Amino acid sequence: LGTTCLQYLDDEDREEIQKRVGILRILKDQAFAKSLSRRSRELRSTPRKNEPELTPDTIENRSVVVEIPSRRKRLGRNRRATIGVSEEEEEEEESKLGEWKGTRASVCVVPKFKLSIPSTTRRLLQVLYQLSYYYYADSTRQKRPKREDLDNSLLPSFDRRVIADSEEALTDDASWETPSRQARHNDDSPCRPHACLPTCKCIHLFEGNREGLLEGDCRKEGRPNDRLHATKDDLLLSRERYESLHKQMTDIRSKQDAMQSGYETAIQYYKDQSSQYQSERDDLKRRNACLQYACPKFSEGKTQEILRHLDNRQKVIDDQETSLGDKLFLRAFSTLSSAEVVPLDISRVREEMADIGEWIQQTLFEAEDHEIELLPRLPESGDLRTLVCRTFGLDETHTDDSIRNRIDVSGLSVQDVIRALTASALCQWVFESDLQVFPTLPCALLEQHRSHLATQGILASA
Amino acid sequence: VTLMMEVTDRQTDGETALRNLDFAAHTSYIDDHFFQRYFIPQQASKLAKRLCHRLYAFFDHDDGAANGNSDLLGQWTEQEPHLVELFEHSLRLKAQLVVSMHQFEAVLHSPGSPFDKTIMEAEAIQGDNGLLKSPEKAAVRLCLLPSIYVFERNAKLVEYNNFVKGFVGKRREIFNPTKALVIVGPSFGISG
Repeated sequence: LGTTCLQYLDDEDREEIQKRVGILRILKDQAFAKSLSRRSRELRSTPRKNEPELTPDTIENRSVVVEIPSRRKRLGRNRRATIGVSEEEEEEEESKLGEWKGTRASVCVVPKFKLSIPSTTRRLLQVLYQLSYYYYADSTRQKRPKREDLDNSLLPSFDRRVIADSEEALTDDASWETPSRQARHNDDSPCRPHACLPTCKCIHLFEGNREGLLEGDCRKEGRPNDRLHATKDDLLLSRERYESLHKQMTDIRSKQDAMQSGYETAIQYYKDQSSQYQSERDDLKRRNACLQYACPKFSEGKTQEILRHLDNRQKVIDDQETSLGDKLFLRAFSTLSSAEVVPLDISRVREEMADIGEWIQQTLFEAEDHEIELLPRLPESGDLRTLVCRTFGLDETHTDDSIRNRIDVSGLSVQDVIRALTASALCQWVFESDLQVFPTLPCALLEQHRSHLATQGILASA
Repeated sequence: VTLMMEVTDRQTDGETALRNLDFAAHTSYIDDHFFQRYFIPQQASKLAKRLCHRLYAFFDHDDGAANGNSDLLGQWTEQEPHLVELFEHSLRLKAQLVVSMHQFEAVLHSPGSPFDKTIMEAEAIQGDNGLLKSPEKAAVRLCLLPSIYVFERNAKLVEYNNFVKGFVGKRREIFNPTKALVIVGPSFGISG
């Protein structure tokens, strides 16, 4: 940036801008100490009145504060190098700022980029704008305006604009004093900050003016300064306009999402309908094929052949249904190598036991009022003796008299005893029996398996 | 060497595969239409006839009286279809539990056992409903419906009788899905 633009400056301005740019470069110079000492020597060799030596302290007094991350966020990656700091240098600069702990550099956390300039740099401000403008024209690869245009028309208008912005900024911070007109033109005035220029505002101003220049309508609409004043409100309202547009865009997107959802639902509905119609069409096709096959046969009087064919088809369907049923039954054991235990259907057990309880309660309902009389004698063995002993919790080995003495049926009805004996029969004959309901084993392979387990002692009986 | 031997000896999961095949085959057999619609009713009918015959003695004494009412004999004879239904339900439950990998016990609580409302449902003797309000004073007179206890067990094949009677060994993961139905009476003076 400096080498490009310094050729347009006179000696005084060039020296001043070199010094100021040097201050900025300090922040990003890797060999900061060397640079600082070198510049100190240069300044000592050409001493100027009231010009302090460039040290961290003097820099702090001059209030040169650069906040990098905020500027990057605000300007965007394409506009960040406005003051001549490249992207790589800026990142390096951020890393180097840590060396300035305890000095003004620690202020770099403030979320705004400010460049405070001494009162004697009125001309410097113009130059900085020139530099920025030229750089911006270079970075955007736009047609660079002639220097005459800048000197004759752009610079004076920018000058007034800058001064106005400076004064406006000063009203925001009372600690900064407004410089006198004399001080603005006096290079020897004390170094005292007076201007705070947000870089983003400068960029907006430059951008608006650049676009006007590029469009070539600056002469038609008047001086750039006037146009800048005219577009000031637009610039200030841009945020509101942006928020309004953003809100409108959000509404449009929400509506779009809602419509999209509705369309998807409708599409799914039509897909289902299409699938249903497809199945119906296939069914009708099958029926049509059957009719096309059957009609000639019927006309030829081959009814028996048709019936035979239908029987065969029905058998095939039955076999397929059986196979499908087998697959359903096998689903619980979907993988033969699965070692998981098939869970017990507890709810089904409860339902069955509840049904059994209801059936037992309804047994011999008419005899609920009849008191029971014990049998004159119990059989010496057999089902009845077993059922009675189990019902009353007795040992079958006891004698008949002993059993009769132990049984207390006082207050019990015939129905009560019969129901208890029935429950005992359920336990004895159903639950605790082998229940030979499997007359043959399902397959020879399992029979071999059982025999193998029996030989290994795993199965009690072969 | 049979196919089974190859499966069980050469593959690490051969026994598991055969066990699953055994359970799957029996499940298929039990859920089959023939088993449910023909075999179980046939067995239930046999068991109902057997019970009717065994308990016939309670209604046909040698002295000609059937517990003081001769009509009870006829009523008991008419109970056979009812008992068939009862045994059908019991057989279906038994068949379902046969193809389970668990072990079971049907517990009939003996007369004199203290009433435990967590595992029993009470039915009081007529005129003695007060016991239902104070179950701590009640004891079992008769057990009308057994409760089913379930034990964890990793069965290696289908066992046709996976119910244990008076199991006293070490039980794992016992849980009681059903409650017993009992007739309760005063806890004192009950012999058992």
